[in-house]
Amino acid sequence: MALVFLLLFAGKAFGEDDWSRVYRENQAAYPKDADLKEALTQAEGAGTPAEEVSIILARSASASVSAQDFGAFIGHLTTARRAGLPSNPFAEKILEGLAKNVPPHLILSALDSQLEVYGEAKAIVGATSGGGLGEEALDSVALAIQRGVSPKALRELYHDVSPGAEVIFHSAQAMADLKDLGFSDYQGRRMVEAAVNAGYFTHEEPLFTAVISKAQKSGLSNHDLADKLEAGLRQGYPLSKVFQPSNGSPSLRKRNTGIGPGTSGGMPSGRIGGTASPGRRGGGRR
Amino acid sequence: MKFTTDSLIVEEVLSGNKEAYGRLVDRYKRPLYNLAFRMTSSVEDARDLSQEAFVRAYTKLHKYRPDKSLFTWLYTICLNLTRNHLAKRREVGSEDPDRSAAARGMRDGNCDPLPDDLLIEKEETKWLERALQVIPVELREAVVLRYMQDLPFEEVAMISGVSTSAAKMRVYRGLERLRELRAREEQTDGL
Amino acid sequence: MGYDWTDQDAVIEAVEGGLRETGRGKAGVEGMDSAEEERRLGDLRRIADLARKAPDREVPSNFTAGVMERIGRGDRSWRAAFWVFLSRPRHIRVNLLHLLSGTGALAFLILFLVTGVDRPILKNTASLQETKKEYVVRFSYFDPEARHVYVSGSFNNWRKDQSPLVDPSGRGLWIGAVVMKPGSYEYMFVVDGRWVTDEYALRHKEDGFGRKNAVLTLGIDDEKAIKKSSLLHGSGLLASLRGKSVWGR
Repeated sequence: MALVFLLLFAGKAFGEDDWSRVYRENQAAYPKDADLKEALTQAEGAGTPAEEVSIILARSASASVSAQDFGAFIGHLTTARRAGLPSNPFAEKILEGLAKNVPPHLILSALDSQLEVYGEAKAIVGATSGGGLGEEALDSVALAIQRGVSPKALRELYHDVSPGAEVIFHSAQAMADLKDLGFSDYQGRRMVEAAVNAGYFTHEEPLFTAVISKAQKSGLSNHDLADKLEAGLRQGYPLSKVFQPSNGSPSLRKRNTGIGPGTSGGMPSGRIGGTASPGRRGGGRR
Repeated sequence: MKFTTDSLIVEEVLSGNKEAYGRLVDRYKRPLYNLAFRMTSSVEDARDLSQEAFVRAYTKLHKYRPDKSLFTWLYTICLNLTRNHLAKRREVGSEDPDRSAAARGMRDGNCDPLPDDLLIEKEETKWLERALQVIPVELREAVVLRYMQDLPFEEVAMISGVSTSAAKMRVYRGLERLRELRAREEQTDGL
Repeated sequence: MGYDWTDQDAVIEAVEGGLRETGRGKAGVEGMDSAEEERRLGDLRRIADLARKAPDREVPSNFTAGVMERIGRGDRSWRAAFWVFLSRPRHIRVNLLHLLSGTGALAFLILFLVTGVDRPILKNTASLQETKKEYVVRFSYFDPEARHVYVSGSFNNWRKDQSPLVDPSGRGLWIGAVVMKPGSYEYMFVVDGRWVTDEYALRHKEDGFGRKNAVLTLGIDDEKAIKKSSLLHGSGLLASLRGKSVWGR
């Protein structure tokens, strides 16, 4: 709360915005549209970064987007900012649509959908901590919703475990990963909640999904797998052992030390297609 | 509150940020202006009517229910204004110069030579704009809403204030009238 | 037996069914056995099609300004707005800890304003911990037929030509690296101008435009971050991103 007061009066949140340049660029790109100036004024007033608007302006002009559609794009950024959301995800969606040659009305539809999702995410993240968790957590929750996880399940998860930003960032994606593996939101929530309570998800946990995915081949139903994982983690077994027939002796675990991100990514070998491997991933300690 | 773009902007306006209404206008000015133009075939009337629709909506914004579609609500206001305007125009017996020019097919601001297929398409569109002005208003509404504004029948019905079945009938009868007009013109041209 | 032209549902279905399928109309409609009726249906379809394709008119350029001016003159809604403000129910939740810290902060603020202490300028109001950690993300794509491969995503503002991959061996294994800060990113490959999904990425999501983006999530983790390596391409844009992108603003 103290920090909120500080932030309110701390000056500009963003480096140096060059809104004068934006207005000039707009005049050059869309000289005949008098309504755009007002749209830009509102965007500036809402604290939208000038650079975002500038990039969108350049790309819109280059793609022959009409002045009205460009104005509608900027209107979306303003609406997002006024609703207490970051404008960048919306700016990125506009740039993505323009790059992919998507008709403006479809980009605007996508922005509408995105606003709803981010609104849900904000309600979830805000309720968890009073909103001080950072944009990464917000983005991750929004992404999980877009990947199919119900906002209700996420709300219940974070209501029950009250995690920090890093845990939200990773556990939200774990919920979505479990959805991709065919688990229901309810099952996913139980499993992720058990993992969070056992100390997981303070960083990326590739083992979580890998172990579950492998266990699915054993023939057990998702319901039984969820039960086993939840029970195993509660009893203190490490993730690598929860599905094994004899779990060995449980240990008080704080962090999973068996698997961790590698120090260099390397490239996957013998695979057709593509992949991205961040340097800290590697599938095992090196 | 549901986080839809419309409800967020409405909330802002009702909380005192009048300027935010400009964003709502920007979102919907194209469909409303085009609805009014297609109903009246007059640039001036279309601008006046659609602007008036937005002004009216602004004064009634506090009555707007967020669970309803703002778009449909705006359309309904605009269409009601358009109907009243057309009724008044008929009563007075005045002919809008734009409209009569359109009806005579003389209004064309673009004299650049076009490729044949584009020329044909442009001529066809001009024919449609003229022909729409000749058919009864309720049939014109139905054709414009369904095909030119691309709305589902349920919305056409809601905006027109009729049942879905009646909306379909109007669309069909509107298409029929246009087809008959076309057939008559072709017969006349053939003479 | 001819077609029942009194059944407008069926006629509309026949008109629009044709529109949906080919835009040219079906060759024939069940029950319709007369050339005249087929011609009639065809005419209706053509008119409906013409209406659907009719281009929108451009709205006059100061349309919104005109509306706002009229609203400003009328100023009819302030009463309504005031009434709504007064009458709308509000939820109030009180957190005593926050209330106490807020009171303390208020005292600090008053002191701050009164004494004119230098105000820090925070670059990032959203993420309070400004991380200096960066990750090198390696991309790879295998396609011996490809001539140009780029990676495009939210880390480079979806530029299609900013982050190329290279094929050093000439055998179709395209590789490249991008430096990124912690966060969530979406991307696709652009292969000879076509958008291609990275099917081997661990995570995907629909892009909302009919395609599928790969998703990359990089957490803030001081213990696990690796050393930054040199960029292959795109340093100009990425340098600007570091200062001003969502992850650093």
